Amino acid sequence: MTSFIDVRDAEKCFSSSEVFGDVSFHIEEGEIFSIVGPSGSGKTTLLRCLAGLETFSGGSVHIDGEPVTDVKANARPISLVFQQPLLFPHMTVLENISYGLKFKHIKKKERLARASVFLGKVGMEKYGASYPHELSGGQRQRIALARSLVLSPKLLLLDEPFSSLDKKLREEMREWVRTLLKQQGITAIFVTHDQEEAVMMGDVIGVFKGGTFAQIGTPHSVYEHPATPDVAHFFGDNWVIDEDRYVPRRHLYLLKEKRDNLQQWPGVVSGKRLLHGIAFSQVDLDGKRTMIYDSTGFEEGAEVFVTMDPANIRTFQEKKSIG
Amino acid sequence: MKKISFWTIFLCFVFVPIGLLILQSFTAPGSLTEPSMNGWTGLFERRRLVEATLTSLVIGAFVVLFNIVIGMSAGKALALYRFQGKDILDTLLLMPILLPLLAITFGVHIAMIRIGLADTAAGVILIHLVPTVPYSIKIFRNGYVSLGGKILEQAEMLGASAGRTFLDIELPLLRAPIQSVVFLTFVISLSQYVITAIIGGGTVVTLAMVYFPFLESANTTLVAAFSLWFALLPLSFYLFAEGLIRLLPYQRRRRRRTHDLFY
Repeated sequence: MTSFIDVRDAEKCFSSSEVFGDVSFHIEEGEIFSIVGPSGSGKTTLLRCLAGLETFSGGSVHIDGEPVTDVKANARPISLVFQQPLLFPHMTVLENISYGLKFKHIKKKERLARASVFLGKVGMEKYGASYPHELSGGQRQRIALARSLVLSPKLLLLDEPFSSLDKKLREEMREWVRTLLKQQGITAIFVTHDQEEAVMMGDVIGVFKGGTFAQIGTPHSVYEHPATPDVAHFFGDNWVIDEDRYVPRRHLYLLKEKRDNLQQWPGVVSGKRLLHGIAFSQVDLDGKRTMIYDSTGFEEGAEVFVTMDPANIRTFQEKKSIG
Repeated sequence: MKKISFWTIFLCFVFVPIGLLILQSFTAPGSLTEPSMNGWTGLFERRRLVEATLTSLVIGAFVVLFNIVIGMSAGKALALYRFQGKDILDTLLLMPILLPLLAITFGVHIAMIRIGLADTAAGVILIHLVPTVPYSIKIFRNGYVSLGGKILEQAEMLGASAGRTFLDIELPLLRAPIQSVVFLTFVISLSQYVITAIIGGGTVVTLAMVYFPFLESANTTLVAAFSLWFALLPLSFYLFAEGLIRLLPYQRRRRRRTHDLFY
């Protein structure tokens, strides 16, 4: 059985250099797929290729069984929400939302009625006659989302849509958008460089690094069982011992003196932190700074040994894809 | 304080000269008190005035049209597309205003004689593009840079074809550059004397060709009336173009604020 969204062996090259390659994944209907990766990893280019704004150099994309690789951007059943809201400044909020419906050969009255429904869904009923410059950043991004959702796209692409918002608003928007997408049963790809955002938004996460997926899986499986040292580093809650082994950071603890029967590394406490009422020490270890749970209460500047129960050491799994 | 000095300067250097010009056109030469309609009657007695005005209007309209078409396409390409040799092309497109216009005209004249464009209005329109197109490209290029390619991609993502995007997004949002180009190129075209005379060969008579011989005339009343007539032409054309722009989609309501345009 094929999946709702099926991307196979996609690649993109600019003149001589490859932006991404060997990209394959699939998404089920109504699922949100988070693509997370550092900036410059090629994830935005991947999204632009999926949207049809750029062409793939190779590979295929099927949506609901139909090939779309050669379909022009304005004819794909895909909508894209950019980093900026990009509302049309010369149109009212309602005209902005209803704009895309024009091309679906829907009568004006019906267009405005549908746009009003979505204006209500994003909680902005009162703003239909306003112009974009009269709205706040968060409100504009909501309208941008409504403008895409009203078209009932088979696939919604979101390219770091909250990156221009401040932290508090960003957190509110994440939750609100996820709830809305789930209510509407929208299949979506959400691109971000923030691992916390990826975990919160996605049913499935793909860690994108160096132009390909290092790992694809549920947030829990990627978090708990990183496939490669890169993924373990990126998620940051693991201590990578070597190419093959790592320890989740919560299993690390600090010793005052060296013990014979344990694997351990010398470090220096360079700071103290309180997170949710629990004490952590910031330890400089092998030139890297890491936060470790500290039950003893070491002073700043103390020389310590970092160790763990050997039973908690894990080995990296092969790169894997769920499905 | 700033406001007062602005209005004083504006009054002194704009309203007073225009006011004097209007006053002189209705008074006897050299006097601003003795009423006389000789300037305006004398003006309309000129045989070719109406014909020259119409010729200037038609030539100007085509020059403006070509400038908008060429300026928008070249400006858009230079602003939004990446391609090899872009910098060289950018400089090449500016060349016509870096080289003396007369030198270009003499060269082009020979070519126009060969292909039969000399002594025709089409030839004059073409030569008027030389001192105008580089400005239009610059103006539209800046317009497209501030518009940005993203907003056009957004329209495309919502299902708009290239044509619809042009009509619904580009034209309305590039209204200010279009207004500048309309006014600027029309005035430049209207004021061309030498190149019109060379390429038009005396067969194509524009308003400038009737107007310029008057400048040495001692009859200041007639010159004042002619100058006002000359100035009315671009103004009326601008108002006409403005009317056309208002027919574009999403222009029904006056925008409440014109800055802060793009998000």
